[in-house]
Amino acid sequence: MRGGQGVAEFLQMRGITKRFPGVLALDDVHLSVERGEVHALLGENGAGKSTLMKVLSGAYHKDAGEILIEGKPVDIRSSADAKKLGISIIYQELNLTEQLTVAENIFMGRPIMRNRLMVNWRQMAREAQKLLDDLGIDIGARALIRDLGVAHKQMVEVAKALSIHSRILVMDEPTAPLTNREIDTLFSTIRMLKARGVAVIYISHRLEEVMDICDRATIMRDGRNVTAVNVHEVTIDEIIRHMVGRELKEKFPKIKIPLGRELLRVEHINAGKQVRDISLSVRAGEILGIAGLVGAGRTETARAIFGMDRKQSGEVFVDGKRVSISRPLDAIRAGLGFATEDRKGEGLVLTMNVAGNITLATLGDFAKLGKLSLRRERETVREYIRRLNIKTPSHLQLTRNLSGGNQQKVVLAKWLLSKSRVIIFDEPTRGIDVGAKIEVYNIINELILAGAAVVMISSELPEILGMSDRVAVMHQGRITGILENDGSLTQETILYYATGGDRRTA
Amino acid sequence: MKKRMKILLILCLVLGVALLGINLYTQGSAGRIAELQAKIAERKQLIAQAEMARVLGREAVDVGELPEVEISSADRVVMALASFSGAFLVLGIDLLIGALALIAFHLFKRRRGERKVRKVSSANNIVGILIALIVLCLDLSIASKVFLTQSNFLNVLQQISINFVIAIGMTFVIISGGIDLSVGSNIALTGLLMAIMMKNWGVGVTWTIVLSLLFSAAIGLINGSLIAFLNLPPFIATLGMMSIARGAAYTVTGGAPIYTMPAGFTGISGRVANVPLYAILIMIAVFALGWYCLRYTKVGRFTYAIGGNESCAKLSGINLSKVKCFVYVVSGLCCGVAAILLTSRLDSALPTNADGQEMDAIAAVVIGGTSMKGGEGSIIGTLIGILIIGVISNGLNLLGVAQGPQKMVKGLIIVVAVIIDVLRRRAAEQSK
Repeated sequence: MRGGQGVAEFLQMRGITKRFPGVLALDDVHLSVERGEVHALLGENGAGKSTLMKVLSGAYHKDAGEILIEGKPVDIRSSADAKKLGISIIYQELNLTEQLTVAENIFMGRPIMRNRLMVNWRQMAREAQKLLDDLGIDIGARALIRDLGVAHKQMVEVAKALSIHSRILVMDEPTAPLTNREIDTLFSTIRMLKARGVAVIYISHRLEEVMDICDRATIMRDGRNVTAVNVHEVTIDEIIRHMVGRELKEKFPKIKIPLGRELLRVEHINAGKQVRDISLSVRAGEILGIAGLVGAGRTETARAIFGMDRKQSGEVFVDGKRVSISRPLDAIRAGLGFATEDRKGEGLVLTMNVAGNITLATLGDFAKLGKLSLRRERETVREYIRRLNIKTPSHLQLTRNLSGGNQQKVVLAKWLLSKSRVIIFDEPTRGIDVGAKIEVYNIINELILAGAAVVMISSELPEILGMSDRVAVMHQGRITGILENDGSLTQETILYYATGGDRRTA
Repeated sequence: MKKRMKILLILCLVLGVALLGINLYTQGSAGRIAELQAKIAERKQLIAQAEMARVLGREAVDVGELPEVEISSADRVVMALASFSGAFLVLGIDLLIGALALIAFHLFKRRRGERKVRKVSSANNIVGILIALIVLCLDLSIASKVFLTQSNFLNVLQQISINFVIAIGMTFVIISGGIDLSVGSNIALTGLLMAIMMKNWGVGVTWTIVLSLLFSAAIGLINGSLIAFLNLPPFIATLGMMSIARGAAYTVTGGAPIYTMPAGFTGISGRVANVPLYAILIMIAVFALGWYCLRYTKVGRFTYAIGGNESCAKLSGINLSKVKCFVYVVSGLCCGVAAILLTSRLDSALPTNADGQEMDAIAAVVIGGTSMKGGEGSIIGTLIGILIIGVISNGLNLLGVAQGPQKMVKGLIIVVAVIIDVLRRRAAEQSK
């Protein structure tokens, strides 16, 4: 699979340097990828991975360095140039039009025409279907994108990239929204791409996957190359050490404390198709993990409990008292908090500054006779910025300018400040780097030490196993099992329940 | 970057000189244009007289025999240009000042290094428009001798007072992610209501003011309720209200205006020692209240939150309906205040009053850097936006630019302001 000595690698980026006012985003970075190779690009958030890929895709112009494809220097000045050279990028935020069909999305901007005026819909659908079938993807070409799950949408992007004969495919955190089974499907697709000689650049924070699927890895830190390694010759710990430049002792700083009273009990909640007859409870000092495949109804359950969506039936008890929750305000008053999965969509007001976001749910506490005390707010916010180690130039920085990990800490700060006794975390560490993950776990630990109860929804089974006291597993809107995490619980067992007890897929 | 700046610099210089040249040329041709215009007017009058004579059955001059006024195409161009002449003067000076600023910026950058400059330029949205306002005032004072006088200053204040009050309310609405198209109609209807109360029902001035403020706020409350509880898009709800209120204004008087208000009422817009004191005090009060409310109250903060991200706001326990109703009530109340100022100044209430006022208000808010997407903006920005629009109108009047070209220039400025804003945002995005 390796090219012989002296033979130029398929894609080479040499000495790439990109300067933004005041920051050196990329400093003499090298990357080389061969045909049929899955090459991991690793590094903490802000290490320069995205910037490098934006240079490759023509979104940014490099200040220095050169890009060679098949040994020939190429000039990439726009995304059209990149496309012509066969470079495709699948971003975390997928680039599909929800209201159109799969076939229309695949052939977006270059429809197959019957003549100058009319589109040949039938042939377009047929060709799209062929692409999908070749990839082993079970989607109809005439299905609407909005009816598909995230995993399938991603596959549509892959098919789209292949349809324009991409030779270099960049995937940015492709598995973040996927469940384990969907990841398997994605990986078999990636292997197929590999067999076809496509060079895949794979960006991910999940190192287990990198070990699984990638051949080589280029590790970046602070805009520079740290090293390039052959994945099979190193361990995860070594990679992490390269990424963060220091040892990380524990991936999951789990603490066990004696449990207190039952703080949240939910009985027979029904809400729509995704939430059916859910009953669960959490005690003070306890972390209840909720596992399940995407679409199992985990997020919907949390939304129903919190009053974001309407409940058809069911009761919620907080600290033993029945509370009626028909909107989030009721939930907050009852002492609940909810850090949502979709940070940018629901967790933060990106146009507001750090202070405004942190105090949003508790603004009343800072008002006296209707006048906000900006001074008191500033002091409180600064305290939380310090406590959670939020990296921001000031409390007045707009949250849209923060990195993912720091944005998540702002969301957490908001709910810490609200003194909620029960906090629901939906995918608390999605898309944030290893260092920040541990900080998030420590914040969760701090909460339970202070006597709160935590519900943690996660698609990452190691995280569920590493942090929870008990695990509730959901499948098709129902809880199929509530399991004690006493050390003997395995990923396989959770998967068994998550797939509805069907052994074949477990 | 450097190359682009050079091109920009040369463009500014060439255009500036060209515009000043056109201005000089058209002013030089003023005599000939006046002559031509007089001839055209004379011919029109003759035709009208002939027409009248024919209608009355008298002997008339044959219109066909009248000599055509000979206008060469060159003269036609000069006449068209002359109607813009004042605007050209201002634009030309602006461009030259802009070129100077570019050179200064360049020198500054060389001296202090690029980093500091970036900090300055992205420091604040307001700095840019503030500079624009200052430059505008600067070149108007060069272009017109009257501009910098005290009486003109007071005139500008009086002229902007209506738009000022409304734009403050509009700022709340737009920050919340909405829009209020019904403000012009609200002013007209509330103005008529005041006139009817005082003239026909004999209500006292104080009670009239209180009741009509309640009335205009109620219109805002209806807007807010439609948007908050029935989930109508703000554009549609207030578009409907715009038509309903305007229609109601025509209906209550059968389209007729109401003239002559009580002296106590017209006194509001009167002058004390030649200063429109009460109007100024009202403006200051509205500004201060708006500023305080957005900065120092919960509901002000929530206005930003729901404009920035509605679902996050809801999730954080904010009562969306309450905040939405609040912003439209604020806008409605501002219309009431504007109606008082307008009716007392005109000493009359017309169903056609404040027609199209919403556009001026929205323009001021947008020029002031408030995002139409919601979530961002400030009262101070709006203040500068209002001043820019006010100063431009005033300047163009002083320079004798006709109403048509004035509208064109204003439209151009709005578009340019937003283009600059978009480019600035894009630059900020890129440098992240």
